Amino acid sequence: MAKLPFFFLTVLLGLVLAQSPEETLTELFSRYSESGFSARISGQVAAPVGGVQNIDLVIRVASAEQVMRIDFLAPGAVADNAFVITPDKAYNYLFVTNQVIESAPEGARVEGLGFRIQNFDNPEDFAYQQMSWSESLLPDGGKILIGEPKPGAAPEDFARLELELSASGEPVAMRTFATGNRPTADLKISDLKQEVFTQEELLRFPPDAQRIVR
Amino acid sequence: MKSLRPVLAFGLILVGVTAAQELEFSLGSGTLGLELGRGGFSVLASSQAAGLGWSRIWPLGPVGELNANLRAMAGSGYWLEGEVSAVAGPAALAARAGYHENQIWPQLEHEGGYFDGSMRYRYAARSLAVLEADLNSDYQEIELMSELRDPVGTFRVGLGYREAAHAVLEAQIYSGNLTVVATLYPGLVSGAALGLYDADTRLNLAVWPEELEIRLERGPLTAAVGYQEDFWGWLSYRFSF
Repeated sequence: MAKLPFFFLTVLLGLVLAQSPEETLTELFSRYSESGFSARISGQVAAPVGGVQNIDLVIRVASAEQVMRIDFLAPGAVADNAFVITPDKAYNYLFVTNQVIESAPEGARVEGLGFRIQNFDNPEDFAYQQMSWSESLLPDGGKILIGEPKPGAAPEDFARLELELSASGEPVAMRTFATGNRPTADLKISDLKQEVFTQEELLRFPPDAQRIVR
Repeated sequence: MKSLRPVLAFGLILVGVTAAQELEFSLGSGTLGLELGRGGFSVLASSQAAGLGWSRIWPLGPVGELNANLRAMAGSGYWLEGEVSAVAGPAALAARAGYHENQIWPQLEHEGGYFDGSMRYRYAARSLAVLEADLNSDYQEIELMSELRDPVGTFRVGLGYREAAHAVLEAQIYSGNLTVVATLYPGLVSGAALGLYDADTRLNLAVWPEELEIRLERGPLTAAVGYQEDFWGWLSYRFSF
């Protein structure tokens, strides 16, 4: 009987080890893509003009309608701005001018940060077809999924993505690296929860905001 | 009651610069306007004047952009105007200056030279400092305000000067997609403005001593009627393609 706990531990460890990184990702996708989710992401990213900048944002996703909204809390240059992308349009809300700029979703630019949202329409395709995955176990029972782009599949200067999962399997941090192992993002993921949103909720801006179509 | 005075609508010129291609029909005295090509030259035409426009947007690094517009029209009098606006991170600037040889009410209200501009700066969460100036041949007005834009509404308090000092108090209350706006300028004149907005429609009512304006905007349709020295009204419809 004294060996029973060790037996269970062995079985559990075997189950964990038996789950490939791709299966772990599939489980995550299915957990959060059925309904939708919200999360707060904060940390540091490489600034487009050099150096690093702190970012703090809330991301909300309506999976069924393929709508994602990002509300910016920091840096100050974009705080109170919002970015929404749908299959048909991208929307940038600029707080300082109270304007909503509508544009085509292809290559949509997040005003104020200078990066483009890509691969949102099919994140699973991006994860499975364009990346190869490995994993590293952590002493606390968590693990890090390590994704590296397949040759020619990813944007230039993107070398590696690390997604850290807690012992319970929840994403808690994400890091990205450019070529030469240069860190480009070190982000903490908090308040991650399944949540159902409608497209109307995620497209809500101040009613008096000026609409600009580009 | 005086008859509705026909007016020339320059709505195309004022709103068309942001659309890639736009065609506008306006009724008043009757206006047909056409602007083709954003970020380049455009042709502007109306029943009373014709001219050229030029616009361009320059990116300001990753955090903003600079937008410039120039317009020149001639016909029954001439009109020259230049406009710049820039957004750079938490700050925004807009300035417009020009010269109208003739007054064309209500779109070109003041004849002679004019300037209006604004500076906006986000100094705290959901809060802006706003400086606005409106200088023309009839009056000179400047206002400095603090604006709080919250999910429940937008609130402005500030001070201004137009012949005498005045206070600015404005509140917009959002209820779902509906917005109610009330604006008071105590110390200047006892006027008020009321606006009802929903997702597709904006209805604005402005009342001042001897002035009244009712404006309805729904999608590409804009209709406005009012009174200032005389009754006026216009209707415009914009096609984007």
